[in-house]
Amino acid sequence: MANHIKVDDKTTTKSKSNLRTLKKRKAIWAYIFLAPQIIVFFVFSAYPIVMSYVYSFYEWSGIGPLNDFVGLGNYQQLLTSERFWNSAVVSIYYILGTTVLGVGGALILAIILNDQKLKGKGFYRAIYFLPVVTTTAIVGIIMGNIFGINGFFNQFLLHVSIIDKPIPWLTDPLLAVILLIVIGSWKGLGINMVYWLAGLQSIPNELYESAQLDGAGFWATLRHITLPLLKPIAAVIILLSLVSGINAFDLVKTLTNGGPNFATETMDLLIYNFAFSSQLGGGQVRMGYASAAGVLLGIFTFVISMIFGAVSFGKQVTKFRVNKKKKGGVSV
Amino acid sequence: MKKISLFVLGMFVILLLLSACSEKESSNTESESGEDVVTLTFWNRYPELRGGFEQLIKDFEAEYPGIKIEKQETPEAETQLRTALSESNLPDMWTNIVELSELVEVDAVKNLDDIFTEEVKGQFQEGTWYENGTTSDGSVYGFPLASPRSKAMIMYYNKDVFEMLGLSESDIPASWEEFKTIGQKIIEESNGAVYPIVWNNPGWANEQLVSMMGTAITPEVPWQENYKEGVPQVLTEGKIESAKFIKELLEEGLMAPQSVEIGLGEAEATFAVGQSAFLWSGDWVGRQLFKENEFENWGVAPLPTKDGKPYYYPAGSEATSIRVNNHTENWDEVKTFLEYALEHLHETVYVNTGAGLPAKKDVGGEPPFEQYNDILELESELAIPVPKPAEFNKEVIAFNKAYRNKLEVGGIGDAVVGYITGNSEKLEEEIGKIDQDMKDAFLETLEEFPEVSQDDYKYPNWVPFEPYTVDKYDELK
Repeated sequence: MANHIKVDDKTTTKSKSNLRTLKKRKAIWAYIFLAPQIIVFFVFSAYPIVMSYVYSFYEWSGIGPLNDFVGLGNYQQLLTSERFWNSAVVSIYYILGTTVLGVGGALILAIILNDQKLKGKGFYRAIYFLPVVTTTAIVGIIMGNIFGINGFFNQFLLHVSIIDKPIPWLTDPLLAVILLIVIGSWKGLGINMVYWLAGLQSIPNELYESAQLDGAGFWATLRHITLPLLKPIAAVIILLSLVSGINAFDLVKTLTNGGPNFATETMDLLIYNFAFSSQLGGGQVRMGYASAAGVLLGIFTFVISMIFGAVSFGKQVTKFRVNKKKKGGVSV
Repeated sequence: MKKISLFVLGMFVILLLLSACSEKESSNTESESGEDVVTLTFWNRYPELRGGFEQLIKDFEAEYPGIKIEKQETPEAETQLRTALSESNLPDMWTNIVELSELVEVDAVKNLDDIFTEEVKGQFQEGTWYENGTTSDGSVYGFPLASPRSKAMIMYYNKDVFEMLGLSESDIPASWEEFKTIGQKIIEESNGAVYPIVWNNPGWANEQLVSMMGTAITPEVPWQENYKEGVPQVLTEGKIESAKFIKELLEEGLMAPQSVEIGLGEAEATFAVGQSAFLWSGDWVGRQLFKENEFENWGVAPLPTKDGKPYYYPAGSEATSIRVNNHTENWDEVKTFLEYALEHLHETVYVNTGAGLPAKKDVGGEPPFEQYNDILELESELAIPVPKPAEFNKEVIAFNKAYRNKLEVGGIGDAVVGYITGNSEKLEEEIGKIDQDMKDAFLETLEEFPEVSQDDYKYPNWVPFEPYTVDKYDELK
């Protein structure tokens, strides 16, 4: 018996050692396969992010060594700059506008296109998805032609006598911002619609059938079944829309170029103008100043995500507590 | 397992080696005849010079089959060049972008003193060689292209429209009032089919226009400096009144409404098809109308001013030139090209295409349109040399950079566009704020630069409209 146990011990020790070697090998292979991704991440993401923080403390034109350390000077100048705050307000309008219009519109569209009885659903879905796969810069240029003073839209309105003189869609500051929001929302409508459809299709059909049996109409079903069950995915869609609204550069650059008089200049366009375009920036290329603006934009994005995350996470925690209480469990 | 590991590691090393090798792209290839061909890269940012450069390169390659020039057009020139600089991947040659002092500071641009001896320099127009433009510390760093006495805005008029409406050259307006009168006539006679003027919306173009028209009212401020008082100044009666005049034209229906949202290319096209009788722009537009729009029946005249008084533009505001990469591996070939260009460029690229006025004196060639000489004559009158503080004290180059870094906007162009489009009614207030910011930044920076003083910007011996020549600096010294 004792001998038997001895053999077992040896076998166990040997198999343990084999397992360790195997695990080690596996780990090495995992690192080898992960290496390219890690290298790419550090070179193309982590390094530029870290360096943009470094540049933001210097007065630097993007050429030559970093000699002129200005500490928080760039941040101080930015935070007292009317142009910076104007760009922040334009960005907030754009983010909120595209989220409300794009996400809300996409939900209505998804509910319509999710109807089992609707014919040609695939065709409509493809049509609404088309702007998503169209290059934003091309959209900006074409929309610029459509909404120009002599563009198609004004000509149409004049032709049907809705207006008696062309509307300056692109040069009136308020109209230009509204137009940017509408076009931005239209551009993102298709992708939001797909997200909503995925959510709608995950709701079990039985729920609708029982609601029907209980005599619930369309609105009651929507209010008590569809919308509550879409809440988890809604949080993700809204967050994605908010974050994508921060990157409006290509549309703004090609549609209004930030004009008139910086009325539609978003934060990302402001960064570009100071980083690369001496004519539109402060007269000089200021990479350090632009980097400081980029850092602030990063913080702004982070704060929005955190606030939104905290709100939606907070709701889920509350819901979890309520459920636990209802079930008589220990509250968290 | 070991074999696989070795294989993977081997592949990794090979890939690394390959990627390292691919970074250094060879510019030497072999021609069909078996000779070595050296390829030079050249970036051009001036659309009006595109055709001329193509012809020049074609002629050069025919004469020097061992050298090929790969030209690339760069619409976002500043972004491209700065990116190339940060990657140490500059082309062999490029047309000027990025201030010369910055390039010299980082050793990116080649000294061309070998080519531009004193004798060669003498072949160029007066005012061609100046600090931070074509030279740095007296050495040449730019191959001059356009004449310093060019780029002033002028008025193009459409002769087809004139003939159609029964107008003659005596009707060309010299004052704003005359312009409005003839404008009304054009609208009435054409039943609203032709606008008197088409304009374009970029901020820089608007700043140029109001500044030039403004010199007829406030001649002591040619651009953004008052050389009498030695301070930056953008709030002048001339600029404000000129901006108001443009807005009046728009509001009274005398300016094509699309002017506030189109670029120069669209404005040229509108003019060429006869939808407008006049177009304001620079000397290079003659070539654009003739070549790109295939329109020949036009003439040129000075811009209208408030009372028909003369206006001017500070000559040599832009050092249009070719710059050479200091680290080019093909300096001998670049030098061969530049020496060839010295003999042929100004004729081929400027005179033969009509793209503007050449920096070199006594250039031959055949202008493609007869109005070329009229443009040349007008530009010589309108582009007048003004004091250049960097010629007096080289330290002002660094000073100017530091002072302008403190500003939120580079000029008044966007404020003018905002005013014209109805974005802002308080033009004086807005320009006044920019003006004050400039003065504050200027005076604040003076304290940081003990080697620069306000006197460097004061030129008591300068008389507006009189060319400020080299001897005038000596008078002050």
